Amino acid sequence: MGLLGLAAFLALWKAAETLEWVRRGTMPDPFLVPSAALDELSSGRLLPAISSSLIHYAWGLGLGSILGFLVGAGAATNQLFDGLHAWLARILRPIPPLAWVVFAIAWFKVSHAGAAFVIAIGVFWVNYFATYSAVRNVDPRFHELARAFGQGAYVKLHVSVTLPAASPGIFAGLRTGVGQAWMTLIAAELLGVPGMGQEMNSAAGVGAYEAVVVYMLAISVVYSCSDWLFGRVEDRALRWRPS
Amino acid sequence: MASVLRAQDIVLRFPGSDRPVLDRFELSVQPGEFIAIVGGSGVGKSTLLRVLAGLLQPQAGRITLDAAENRRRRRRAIVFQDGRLMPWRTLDANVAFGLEGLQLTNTERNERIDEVLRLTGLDDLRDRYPHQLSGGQVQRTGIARALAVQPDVLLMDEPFSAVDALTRESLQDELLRVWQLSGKAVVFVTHDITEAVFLADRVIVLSGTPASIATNKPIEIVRPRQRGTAEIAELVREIGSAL
Repeated sequence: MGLLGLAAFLALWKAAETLEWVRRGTMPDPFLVPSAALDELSSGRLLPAISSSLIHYAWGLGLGSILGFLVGAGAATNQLFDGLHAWLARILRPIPPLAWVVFAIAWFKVSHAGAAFVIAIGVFWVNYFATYSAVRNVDPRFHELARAFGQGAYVKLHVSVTLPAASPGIFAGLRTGVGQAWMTLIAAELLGVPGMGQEMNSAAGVGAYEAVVVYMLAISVVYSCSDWLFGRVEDRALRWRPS
Repeated sequence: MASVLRAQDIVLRFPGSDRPVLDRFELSVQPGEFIAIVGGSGVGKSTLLRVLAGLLQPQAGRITLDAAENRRRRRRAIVFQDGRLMPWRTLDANVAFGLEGLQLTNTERNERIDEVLRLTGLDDLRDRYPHQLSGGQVQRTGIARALAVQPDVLLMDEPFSAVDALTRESLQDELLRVWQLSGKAVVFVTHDITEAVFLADRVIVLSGTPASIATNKPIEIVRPRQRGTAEIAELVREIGSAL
């Protein structure tokens, strides 16, 4: 069924190209995509671009997730911190990660760190909110249980009760971050940091639209792999949940 | 004989309400004694139990234990109405929870777990997660968790009210067996007078606002007791008229 849909889509695409539904030369030919892929691969552009993107991805995702989790968990469990940060969060949160590109370039120049910085900001908010609300929604009866058995002190309470109880929500945030980081990544790289986004941009510059499609597909494949991998980790960590 | 747990002059008022739930309330629990507390819903049975457990701090009065808490056991342990197992822990890890607040070696901890699992007949189920257990098994696990900390007094908050009638009878029989084997005192809150009379050495009826002891009735039926005897029915009628 899915295969049929895919074939129909390819046919439609090919028709759009041959019948010139858009300006001539701007519609890639689907049947030239495989050879364009081989081209990108053999010219040594595809793999370095992927690995460069993965570096931005890993750093941005890692830092954003860890910081988002820490700030979210801290705010949800400490009233003073919650009060202090509330306004700041309200002001900073609506700013789209890409708006930070200006500062990323000013501070880090066009570098890996700049791309990672922009990605981390997007991921930070996703994890901050997921963790904050997951921790806030932990059933208070578990806290009563912990106090009843002498484990009501801050660290013990939150490590042995809050964290595992909130883990489904925290994982949902992490997983959203895995996707969100990927979206911001390409946008950040379009600005010129080496990676798949940049390769796409330069291919488009010379009208090599088949190559653009190659990078789009590469993005899709790498994202699917990372999401699958994360799904496995999540299933393992949350295997106590009734299925 | 020194009481294992004594409440003196307890005054408990919830914030925002002008009438206290408990006003100069007195209760003392003798070693090995089985006390049942009955009363209509909302009279403050569960509140009283939480005060006895140290989970609610009264505005006045004091709770005395016959010896100070030490690091190898707890003087009191509570069994909750909802079982309150942590869904992310297997049965044996739930039983271990109370022990994590004590200073025990790993060997001692494992011995205690094995011992209470044998006592409560849960040994074969130790690797199950809570969602894989029946309502009765959940309550038995809650009892095992409380027994593992080797308390002098077991505080039970309507522990069998959420299971079906047949399971309830077998849980009652099991509780009596465990109680007689372990020699611990039990304070058992229930709204079921028949259950109270069948189980307890002494039935206390709470009524009014603030709650006071309307009846304090020793039950002198010899053990093992039979269900549905005229003797029980007579006492149930007598206690019921005080409610």
